[in-house]
Amino acid sequence: MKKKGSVDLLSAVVIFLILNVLFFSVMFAFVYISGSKARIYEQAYSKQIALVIDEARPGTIVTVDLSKVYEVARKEKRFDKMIILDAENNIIEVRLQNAGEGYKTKYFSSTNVKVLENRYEEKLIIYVS
Amino acid sequence: MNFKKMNKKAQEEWLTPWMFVVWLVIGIAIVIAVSVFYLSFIDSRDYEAKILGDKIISCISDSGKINPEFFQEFDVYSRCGLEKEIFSSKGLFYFKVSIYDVNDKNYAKSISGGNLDFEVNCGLTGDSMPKCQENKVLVSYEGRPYILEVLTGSNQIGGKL
Repeated sequence: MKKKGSVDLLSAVVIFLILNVLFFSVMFAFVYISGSKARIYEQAYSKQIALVIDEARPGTIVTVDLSKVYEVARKEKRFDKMIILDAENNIIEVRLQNAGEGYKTKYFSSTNVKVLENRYEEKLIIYVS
Repeated sequence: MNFKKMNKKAQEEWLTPWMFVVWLVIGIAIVIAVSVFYLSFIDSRDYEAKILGDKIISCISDSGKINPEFFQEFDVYSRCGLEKEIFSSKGLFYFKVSIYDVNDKNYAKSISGGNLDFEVNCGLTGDSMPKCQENKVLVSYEGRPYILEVLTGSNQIGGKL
């Protein structure tokens, strides 16, 4: 009888520990999956580039540092088309994940804009003419 | 008998319904905190309104003098480098340019474009309301002083569009 009581107590402790480990694993997994920085960087750079285009006067060349963008994109295994310019609809899209759409921001300037990614120096060159 | 009771009590202390309640509370708190942090958006509407205002002021006035063409046929879009299609009636941007005499306060000219609802919404507070900027500049035209008033607004949240 004494042995059975000890086994019951031991199994209760083991089940408790297993459930705890399971619960916190699920929580960590949730935070890790939803805590991707990609969405935040997509938004930040999309808006930053749109503001740069809006503020730039014709004839301006602006260089934007993309090292952080490349770092996040590499983690997300995305290696091309990170900055997409839709000059026809005045939309700048930053996409750092393979799944889903990127973050799009409209700019209101009617200037002729061209963007060029310098992958070696991890910079974006914006030509406003 | 006493030992059995003690073990049963200990067992109940390890696996109680309260434990699941505590996990539920912790889980909900974590989900809410993560969602609030990652779903928040970077608000650049103030900057957009300010840039739009600066752009309009700099194309209408130069060194404190109004561009004389402003009082004739004046296309704000082409003159100020603004994309007309973006300033549609249901769009995300708005501007209103008014110019009036300093002395008699009569409006000499007023032009507006974009989402005209913003004229009212600019005065309202709330996250869904546009962010607006009002600029007043003292300018002159043919030696007379005028006030150039430019109200601009943006309600661009961004995202999938």
